[in-house]
Amino acid sequence: MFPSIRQSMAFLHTWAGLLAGWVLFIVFCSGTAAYFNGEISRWMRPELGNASDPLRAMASAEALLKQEMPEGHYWFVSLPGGRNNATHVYWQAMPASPDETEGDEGNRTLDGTGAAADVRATEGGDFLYRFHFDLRYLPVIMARWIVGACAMFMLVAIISGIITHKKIFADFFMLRFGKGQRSWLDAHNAASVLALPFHLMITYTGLASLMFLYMPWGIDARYDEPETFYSEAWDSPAPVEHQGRPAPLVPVTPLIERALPFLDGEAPAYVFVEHPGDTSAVVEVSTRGDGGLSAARRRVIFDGTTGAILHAGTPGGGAAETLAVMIGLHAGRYADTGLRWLYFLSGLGGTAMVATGLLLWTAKRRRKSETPAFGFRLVEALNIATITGLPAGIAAYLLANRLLPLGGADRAEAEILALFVTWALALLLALVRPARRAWAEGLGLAALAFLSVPVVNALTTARGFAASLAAGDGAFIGVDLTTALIGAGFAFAAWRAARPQAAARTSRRLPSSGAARS
Amino acid sequence: MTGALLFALCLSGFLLLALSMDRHRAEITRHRLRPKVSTGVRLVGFACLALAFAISLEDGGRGLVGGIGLATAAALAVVLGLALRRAR
Repeated sequence: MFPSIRQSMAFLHTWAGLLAGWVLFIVFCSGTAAYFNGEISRWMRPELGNASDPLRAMASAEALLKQEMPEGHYWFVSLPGGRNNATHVYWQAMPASPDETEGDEGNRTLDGTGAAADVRATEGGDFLYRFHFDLRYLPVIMARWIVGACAMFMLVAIISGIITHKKIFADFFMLRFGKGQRSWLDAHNAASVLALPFHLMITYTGLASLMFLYMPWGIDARYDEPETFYSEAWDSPAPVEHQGRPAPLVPVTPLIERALPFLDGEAPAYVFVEHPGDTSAVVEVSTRGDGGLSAARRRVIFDGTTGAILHAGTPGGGAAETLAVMIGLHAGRYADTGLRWLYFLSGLGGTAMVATGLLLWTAKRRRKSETPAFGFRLVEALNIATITGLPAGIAAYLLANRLLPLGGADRAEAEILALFVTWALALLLALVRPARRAWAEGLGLAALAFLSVPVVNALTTARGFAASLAAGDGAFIGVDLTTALIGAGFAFAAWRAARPQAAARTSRRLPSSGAARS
Repeated sequence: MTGALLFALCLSGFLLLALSMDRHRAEITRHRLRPKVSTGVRLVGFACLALAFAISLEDGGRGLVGGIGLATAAALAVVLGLALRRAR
């Protein structure tokens, strides 16, 4: 079918990339933003200060939980510390009747010192993190299969792209502006090649982190219940049955200090109490898994009625640890601020790689037919809607956080709706406007949305850019500055797209430098 | 601190590699390089990158991840620098 391997690989690269491209753009774009999920969460909860004191926070959370639900299915507390300045408290009662699986639930957000805070309802940066593999408005398992299939296509596109790339070394530093299709190819090559180690790593480890969903057959063949495998692989104690016999729970907060020697220097981050108030109660204190490349959470499990240590240490053997390192590499939880920015930069490179790849598909086919075919028009509209719409939507998500009324039952959900409404607006633009205008207007929309973020923040909170700068408040400075820069980038792109096309920009053909190939 | 050193090494390394390539050499300087000099420049460029790699490994896996990230940033700086120079 193809005269050479390079041509067959080019075919594979083109179509694997196109089919998965839009989903991959979503995954790369929101995943890149999610490297700063903690900082974005801070920015989206401006009521909370930066002080944090995990032990005091836990004491308050424990008092609150004892008052709200002294007995029940579980308590869960996410402690402040590190990049987190909030204390999240969740509880769930036992199911009211045997045919129900979940009882009544409640949750509360306290500040980093455990004081009750009147904080706006928001999913914060964690929404972007979830969105990058669970998508939204779809059953989670289906979404993960979609993302997984596209990630597999990504891996295919990367490998076939390397084979297709004729001059990966000779063109390593090549980026020419103002040469139409040639420039898009240069940009695509630069975004792909310069951050190639990252792209390979992130795609492979992303697939690996969901491997038990994608390839369950090994476990199915060997185990009757997958849970048995998980508890063996991670040294988890068997789940405890609720006994229905009341017994007082030991004070939980002191257990955190007793857990410290077993946490390898990582900060305690989560406290989970199963069956509080029952004889079967257990308390688990665990870390975020952010102490090193491995994302394995250190944990200590206590008997909830006696306070005796049932289990302590790092879970799992060599294979589990290998997977934990892959997940750690992917999520970068261990990364300090500098490395986090490098992750972000490479993530932007991945986003640009997908975007320029999608653009190339249309750039290559534009001249061939005078009246664009339906397929061409569809790809172009989806390109405009996705590449301008999702970023504009993310900015709208941040804006909605500041502009929506503070009360209201579904406030957190409404913020997310703002993202999708903005995105739909970009899709509408792409469908009703001529392509060139739609590009300029979509990019303009994204520019406007991003540039508004620091302005609206300064107008609606007391933590505007100047105040944050004076206070040395990293998360606020970072979000304000980054959104402004991204906005400026989109404004520049919109201006370029809006310029009347230089009618026949004669692309000076470079002498084909076959000799440069080594 | 190590980060700044690694970035400087990667930046020098990539700049020297670009300088050893005819098409980019012409964009950086009007001087022609004799073939032997050009080869030398290329070797020093690779040596800078190799040194950066070795230093980054001092800090194990975390160091390697950071080193690769810095190399990406440095190469991007060279590519953008050359592109802007060409566009003027």
